[in-house]
Amino acid sequence: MEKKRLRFQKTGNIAFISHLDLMHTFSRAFSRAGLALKYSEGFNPRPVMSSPFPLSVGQESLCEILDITLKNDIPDDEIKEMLSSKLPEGIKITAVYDQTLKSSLVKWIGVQFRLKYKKAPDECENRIRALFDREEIVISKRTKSGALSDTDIKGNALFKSFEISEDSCLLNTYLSASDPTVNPVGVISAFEKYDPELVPEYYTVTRTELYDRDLNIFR
Amino acid sequence: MTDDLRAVLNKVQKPARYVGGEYNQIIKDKKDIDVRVAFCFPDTYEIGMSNLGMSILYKTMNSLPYVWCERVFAPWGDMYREMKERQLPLYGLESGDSLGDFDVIAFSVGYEMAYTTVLDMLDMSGIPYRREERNGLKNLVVAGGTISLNPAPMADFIDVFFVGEGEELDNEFLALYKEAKDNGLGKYEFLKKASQIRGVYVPALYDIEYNEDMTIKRFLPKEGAPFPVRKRVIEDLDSVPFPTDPIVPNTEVIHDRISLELFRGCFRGCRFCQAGFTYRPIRMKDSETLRRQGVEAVNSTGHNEITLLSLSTSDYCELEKLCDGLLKFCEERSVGLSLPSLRVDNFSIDLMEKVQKVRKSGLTFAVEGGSQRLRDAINKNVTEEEVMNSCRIAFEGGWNTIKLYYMLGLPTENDEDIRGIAEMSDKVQYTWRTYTRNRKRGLKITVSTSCFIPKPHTPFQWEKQVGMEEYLRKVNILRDSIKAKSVTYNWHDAETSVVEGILSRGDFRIGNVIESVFKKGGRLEAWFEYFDLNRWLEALDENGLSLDFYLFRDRAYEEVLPWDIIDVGVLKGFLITENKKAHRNELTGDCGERCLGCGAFTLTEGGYCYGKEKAALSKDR
Repeated sequence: MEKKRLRFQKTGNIAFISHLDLMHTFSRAFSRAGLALKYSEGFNPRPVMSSPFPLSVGQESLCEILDITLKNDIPDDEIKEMLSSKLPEGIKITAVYDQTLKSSLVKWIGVQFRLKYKKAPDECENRIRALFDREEIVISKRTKSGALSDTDIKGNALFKSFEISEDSCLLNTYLSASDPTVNPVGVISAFEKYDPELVPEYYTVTRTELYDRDLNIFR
Repeated sequence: MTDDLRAVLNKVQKPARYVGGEYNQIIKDKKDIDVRVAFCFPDTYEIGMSNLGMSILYKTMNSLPYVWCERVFAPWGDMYREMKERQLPLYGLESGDSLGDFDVIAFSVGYEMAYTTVLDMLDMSGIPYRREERNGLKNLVVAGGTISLNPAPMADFIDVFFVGEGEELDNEFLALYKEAKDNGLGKYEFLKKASQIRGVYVPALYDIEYNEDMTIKRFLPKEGAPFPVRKRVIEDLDSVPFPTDPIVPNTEVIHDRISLELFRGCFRGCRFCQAGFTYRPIRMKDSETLRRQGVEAVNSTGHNEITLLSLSTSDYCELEKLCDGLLKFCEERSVGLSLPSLRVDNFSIDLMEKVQKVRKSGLTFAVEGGSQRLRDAINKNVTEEEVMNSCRIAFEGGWNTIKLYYMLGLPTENDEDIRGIAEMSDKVQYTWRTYTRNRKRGLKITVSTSCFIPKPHTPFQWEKQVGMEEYLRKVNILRDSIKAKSVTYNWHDAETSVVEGILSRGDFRIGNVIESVFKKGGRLEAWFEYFDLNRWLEALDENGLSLDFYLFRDRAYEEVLPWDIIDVGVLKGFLITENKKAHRNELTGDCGERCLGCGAFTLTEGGYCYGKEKAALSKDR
């Protein structure tokens, strides 16, 4: 049994498929590639496979990971090659290696927002910085039961950088991956609450990197 | 993709349906392409992507180097509203280009309730849905599938109907289209030429004369157009390409699996069954071809289930050989094999044991009629003894869930026949008590009824349809007579049956009704969420038409029927004989035992029908 970790990108139109659909897509891709995965025991055996930080529908990523257990011992670069041609458009394997670190060590996710305004608000960067520098950043979140509850994301959403490129503004942040998980949508909610002019006409979200608690890149 | 579309996709449910990009989709370079085809399915992505016909013809059309065929599906309500609001046109999933950019817009239409959606899909793209309002060769609208068995209701909208199987016909048509486009031919000139291809019906080339009672007097073909238009069939199913590399959806669809088609046509001749009469003659696929195609398809898609398709799987000539061959492969690869439409006998139970090792899903019997008399009248060649025997075998084998399907409103049906359904369920329960291996697990019988709708090209095409009140009266009789505790009774609602009835046997005047319903907001009407009977009743009224004319009258054998323009190969005389036999409660039986001379074998050049050959062999013996 070989425990492997795949790093992959999910970009373009395929960003619109859900986490569950993505898992099915991978499972069929492994089958097409002739790579046998270990299956769970029980009445409905399923391939043992996990992608620990589900990406929301519509968001892109350059840094997803997928943990699998293969039945056979196959060199990493061969796994990458076998699988690459069997994946649908928009999913690209960037690396294959042994699982050495537990994925629970991931604390931060680098998240880039592309904010598109009809006209960028004045002092845009300073206002966004100011927002992240607040004493508290309380946003309303819908719980599983459907009720609204307030959470403070201060300390779990960090400003990284800001630049203006072509027709949009690029905001880079670190958002907490777990305990608590901060969804990128929460950042836009904070705009709405504290400085509504910052809410863009339209925006996209791309994950750029995974980090541990000390902001070292996670492998 | 534009930001506008992205913004919309972020708002709607299951956006994966609207983005394409699946494994095995076909992308071509526009500059190499002469003819762009938008292959439209007038229902959702999940339904359309489960359709074997779509999958076959997508591949067939794309095999021409100068053609690029893309898929288009109807968006669900939320997406529809968003697109309308932002004036986003409907687009091909492969290129994202608007329907208006395509040369040929081809619809695959398998059921009547999708008709308004055809208008809607054209309208969403700014293409006029009435054919007289489309003047150029570009945006030519063609349609195939069961829509062509009675094209009359949709003849105002569709330029060209393809009658029968498309594997050869579609590409002959596209070759002619390319030539016409190269030579700058006008639409009418092209249509005249196209009408000479066998299996092509061009409504613009026929005038219709009516009688005073508004039944049809006669069809008047123009410009040398054929009358009737004869259905196209593939003579040798092994020789036409079958897609062993179908598109693998990125999201869940209705049938997430490989479909293998065992044969076309059916021996049974059930008098209510449109497929049984219109898919003739019977042509088998070779089991080795099927096995090979199944293996290839699993390898190229990664699917973990194969399903065997046909109208009656038990009638496939090499079923045992095929299953043995596939099972070996399936076991090695943990691929499931499913066999719908299987008759229950010792052999099939054995087979099912092998196929589904752990789970025992329910068994389904299409009994159709509640008494032997009625089953004889509809030529459903099944006896109560056979059903009970099958049940016994199933119960002994450990099954405890049984579904029984019936139709209400069949010609000659009386109230005794309906009570017979309840009696039969009692007997099934008794059989279970006698033979089950484990009484503790209990028994679940589900009885379902639907309302019979007489269909064109069947022996019942002249019959009345029962109205909603009468159907509900019958439902109540059955409900009151079911006493067995283990029975759950479901009935199909009667409202859609009314509309399906009008559209099935509608004439050329129904086009206006379809248009009015569409204008009142009718689309995706196969979904109860979107269906509204009142719209249809209003539209009929506005157009001065009545249900009586379409549903509640007996048609005379001599009447010229709107679908007489289509020749599916079965002789009208044969249908009349079958109709008369029905009223005498006479069985005709299976045409694998004795060729009944329906005439369908004349559709193939060699005069081939597997049923005819088989019957001749058994006679020699």
